[in-house]
Amino acid sequence: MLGRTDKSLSSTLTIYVVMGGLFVFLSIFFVFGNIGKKILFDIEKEKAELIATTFAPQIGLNLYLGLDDRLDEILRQIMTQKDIISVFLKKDGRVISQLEKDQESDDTDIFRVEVPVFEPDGTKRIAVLELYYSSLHYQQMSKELTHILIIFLSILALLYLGLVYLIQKRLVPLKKLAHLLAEYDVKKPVVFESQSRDREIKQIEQAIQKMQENIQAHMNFQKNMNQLLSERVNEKTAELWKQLHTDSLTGLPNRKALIEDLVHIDCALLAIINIDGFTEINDLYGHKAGDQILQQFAQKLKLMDFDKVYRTSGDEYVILKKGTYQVDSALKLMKEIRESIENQKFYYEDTPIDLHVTIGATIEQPPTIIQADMAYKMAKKARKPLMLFSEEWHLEKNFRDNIHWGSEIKSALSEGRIHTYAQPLYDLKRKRIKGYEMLVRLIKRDGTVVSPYYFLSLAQKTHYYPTITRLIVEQSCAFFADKKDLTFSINLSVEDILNSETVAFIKDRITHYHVVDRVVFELLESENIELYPEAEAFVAEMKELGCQIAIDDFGTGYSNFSYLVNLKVDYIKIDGSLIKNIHTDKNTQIVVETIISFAKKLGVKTVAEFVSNDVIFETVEKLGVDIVQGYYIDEPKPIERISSKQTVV
Amino acid sequence: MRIFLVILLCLDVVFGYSYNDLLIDAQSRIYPKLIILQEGLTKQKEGDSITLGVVHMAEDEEIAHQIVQKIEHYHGHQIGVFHLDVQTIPFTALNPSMKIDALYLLKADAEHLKSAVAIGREKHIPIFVYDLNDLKYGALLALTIERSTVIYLNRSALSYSPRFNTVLYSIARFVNVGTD
Repeated sequence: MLGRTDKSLSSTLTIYVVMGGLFVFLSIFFVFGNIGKKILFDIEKEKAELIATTFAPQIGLNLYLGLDDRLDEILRQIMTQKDIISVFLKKDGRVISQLEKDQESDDTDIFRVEVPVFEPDGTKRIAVLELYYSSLHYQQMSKELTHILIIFLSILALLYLGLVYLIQKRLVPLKKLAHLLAEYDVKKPVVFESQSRDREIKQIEQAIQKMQENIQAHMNFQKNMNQLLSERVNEKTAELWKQLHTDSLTGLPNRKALIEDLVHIDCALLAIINIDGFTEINDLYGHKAGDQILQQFAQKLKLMDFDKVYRTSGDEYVILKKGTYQVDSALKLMKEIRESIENQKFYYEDTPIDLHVTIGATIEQPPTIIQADMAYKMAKKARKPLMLFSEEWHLEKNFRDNIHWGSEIKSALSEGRIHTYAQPLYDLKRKRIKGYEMLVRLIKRDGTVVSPYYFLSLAQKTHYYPTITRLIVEQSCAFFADKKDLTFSINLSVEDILNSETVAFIKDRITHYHVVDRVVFELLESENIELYPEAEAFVAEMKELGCQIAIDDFGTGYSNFSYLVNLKVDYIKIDGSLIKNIHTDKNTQIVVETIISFAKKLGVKTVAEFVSNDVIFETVEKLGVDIVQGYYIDEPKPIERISSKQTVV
Repeated sequence: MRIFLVILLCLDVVFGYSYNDLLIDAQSRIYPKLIILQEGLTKQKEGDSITLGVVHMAEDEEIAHQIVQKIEHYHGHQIGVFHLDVQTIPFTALNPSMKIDALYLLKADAEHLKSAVAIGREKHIPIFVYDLNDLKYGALLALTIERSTVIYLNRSALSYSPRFNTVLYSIARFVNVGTD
């Protein structure tokens, strides 16, 4: 690329030559001028000295012979010389003779020459001859010399300009060459029309021509290579695309391909076909058999009259049949599909295997995988072989809620918005607050307090649940560590008890804070913990440590009293649904009385929840309930607001 | 001054030889100096004496002695680095055997003058004459007082005379008189 400061070679050479020439000319002018003037000056001075030395012997002889009267004549002879201005003859420092011309001259234009005068034998200096010599001649000569030099240098300068012109002319082919190369384009090779006689330029042209041919050859090679590579890339891309969109086992399009296809489809029957009990086939015959069955299944589907068949996961296939369907026609088609599949035989080696399928389908416009999936799950849940998606289901909202609360729990945990609340337990015999039940609350970003009803059941299905439990355990133990006269209850689910890490954490915390004798673990009756040996072991271990066990929401399930005995529980918390209408419903009163009666006989204390007013309070008190809990006593509060002194209502 | 000289010359012819004091005075001062302008004289005679013979006719002996006195007055017995010995010599006594370094010929007849010139030439010594006209007998140098003092040098006598400082040739006025 040419920069702003780039100059052409010819310009540079011209500048150098001109500068060099100027330097040489000026040097010649000053050096020769000065040398010439010095020489002229010396010549003039020598002339003056010659005149003086010529006449000095005569003067000396005349003085020697005493012919003083002849001195003036000699001086006049001296003065006849053109450039002599004055002459003085001095003897013993005194002027004994002198002559001067009547002309005005500047002192600076005069040479002064002094020559000693000797006796004829040259032994004795007897006088001094002084000549004053005009420099006019010298100046004229100097001017002439200057003129000659100027003329000479002018001629030389003309020759120099001629030389510059010649250099420029000889560089023209090089400039043309540079211009051609500056506009060089691979697609338009440079054609050299130069008729230069210079060998070097010819060599450059030949070299560039050869380079052009090489570049062209290389370009052609590169072009072919690019084309080849492009083809290979396209092939590879197609291959990768196929791999990306194809199930490797069956060769069917996969879920990704389905998603992309659905974008362009408005009306179709979209059905998910899942092989029932396929896990058992794998377990029974092995994965190799499973793979073979899946391949055979795919082949069967392909042979059926569908627009497209996909394998979306392990034992799940999706079929797509374009067109507009009514519910009846759709259900008919789904039934036909099911029967067609189930009537066919699948084999592993020689062993025939019967397959049953569950089909969930949608005919919505446009159809979506979610709809078909919901229909499939509904069918599974209802243990039906096929189900068609209906807009009347609100499952979509549940899905959205689940997604929303999953996200909310995650952010609340990371931002510290899961808080521990506490609600007092009032001891009716001692007339004081015995302890508190620990409750979990999610605080929204806007400060709204959310009940666990909305998020806890969802949290139990996620990996966030153990974190929530540990948070409550940690905060509760820490808070009640120094409140020795209060107990506190922590709700545990079967998931908590079955999680060994959570159990280990609980044991660690309660021993660390020395609250083993004041902590009560509440277990839900509805979770049938007696069915889980791990739960029994946990209860036994906690009891051994000194902890107490309560059965929560007692009375809603099958209310098996025998396991109360086996687990040696300490408290029964009567379900709130029995308590909240106890003052109006006689049947409920009978049920509660029965529970209390049994509990007393077993030595288990009873707790009445949902005590919301004085009538309920008095009723449960009369029935012999030991402890009450509810808004009549106090509402749940953040744990930080609990005071140990607040023990009496 | 020129007219005066012409008159004097005329009187010489009528009343015998007469001498100009001014001229004698000038010649007494200058002739000894001219002697030592000879080339090579320094080498030959340094430390020696130079003998100048004032050659005169018998009737001019008095004037010859006066000249000697004048020379001695002006120069003493020293000229340059040389001892100067000035002698009066009658023309008749002059002979080649005499040790003499220069001749100063006063006025005389032609025969005597020629004879003295011949001896001088033989001895290869400078020959001065009192009278410019006597150069025609072959003498080398004469001195006259014209508008200024003028030294005449007889070119025809140069071949018989010693060589002088070249400067002398440049200030002298050349005449070419006399025969070989």
